[in-house]
Amino acid sequence: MKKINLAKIISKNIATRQSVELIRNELSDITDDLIELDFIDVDFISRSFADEILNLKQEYKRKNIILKFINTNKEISEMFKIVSSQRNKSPKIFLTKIKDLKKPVHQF
Amino acid sequence: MEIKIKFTKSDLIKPTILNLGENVNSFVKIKPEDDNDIDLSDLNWVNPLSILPLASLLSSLKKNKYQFKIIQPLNSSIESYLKAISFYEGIHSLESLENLRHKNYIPIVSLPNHPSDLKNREKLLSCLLDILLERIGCKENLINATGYAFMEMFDNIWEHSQTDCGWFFAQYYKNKGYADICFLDNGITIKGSYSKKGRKTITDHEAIKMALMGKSTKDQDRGYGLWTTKKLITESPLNGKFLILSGQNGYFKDKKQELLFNLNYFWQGTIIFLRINKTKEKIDYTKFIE
Repeated sequence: MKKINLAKIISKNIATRQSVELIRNELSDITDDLIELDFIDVDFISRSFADEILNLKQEYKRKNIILKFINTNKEISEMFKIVSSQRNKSPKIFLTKIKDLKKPVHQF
Repeated sequence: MEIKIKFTKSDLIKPTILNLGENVNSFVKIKPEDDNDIDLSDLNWVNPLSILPLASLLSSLKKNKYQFKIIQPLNSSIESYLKAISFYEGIHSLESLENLRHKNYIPIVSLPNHPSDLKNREKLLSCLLDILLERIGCKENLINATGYAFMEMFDNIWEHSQTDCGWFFAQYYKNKGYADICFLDNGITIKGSYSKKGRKTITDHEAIKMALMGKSTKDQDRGYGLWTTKKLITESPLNGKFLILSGQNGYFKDKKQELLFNLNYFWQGTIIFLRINKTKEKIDYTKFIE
């Protein structure tokens, strides 16, 4: 069983969707059925990264390879929970009552 | 040709936007074959929203081999400050940033959008977030709220702008108790991003509205970045201000008002500006995520 330390290969705060490519590079030569993605020492992940790594997990599941997330802190677990729940919903259209200004802009 | 750069000595955002317009419209007149003087001599005040666009414009001139020289500010403190914040080309490496952790600013950072720089970029972004959180409050209370906003704004640059470089600059004003944070790209604008995905007839103003309404250019399960960031910054105890400038339009929100407005100039790309107040309160960012 292979374990990949994400803080080591990416960073302790993981920002972008593209950073998943760094994980892909690590996975490219692996033949194990189960791979642990270790979030130890990772403090924070962005929503975009969480979404993309869940995509990666699904992709590998289709190849019968399990990607397991381990040592996620409370905030990271929360982020995965939120992103997972958003993935199962239809997109919402948020109607904000933005006005187009014809008059001079207020001071701000 | 001489370009006299104008700045306003004001904390208000609107005058800064107007000044930016004057400067952008001046830059449009610059010709590559001329000897151009970029005159900063009258500069007496700098904030991220005024100086980061200028840095990116100057970098663009240099990259495109325009002939120009900069006339430095007469105010020696400002001249020193510009040097300290790495105006105009910015820093690109983690080492440069680590030495500045004790400062009240994060210098101008220009991050290339290139696959081979991915790891360096992630580490640099991580360091930027750490420093920002150290300045504006308790890291444990704010990491998710501020981290969400910070990371989403950067991710938008890489995902949508189709530019080769993203820009960042932040200044913490200790006496005023807030931080000004600016993200910038010289890419295809929000409208351009929607156009690439098939919505070719929309205007800049419609594109900004759509982005703020959560309509993604990507797959159906995404598109919440700007919406959530706007709410987090302006409706949480951060009690902040949120500004977008893209193409010919802009959007502003704080607790008191929400405005969509026309610019009298064209910004090639997108600028996101946040003003975040220092707070000790713990922010439950999940309340703001749809």
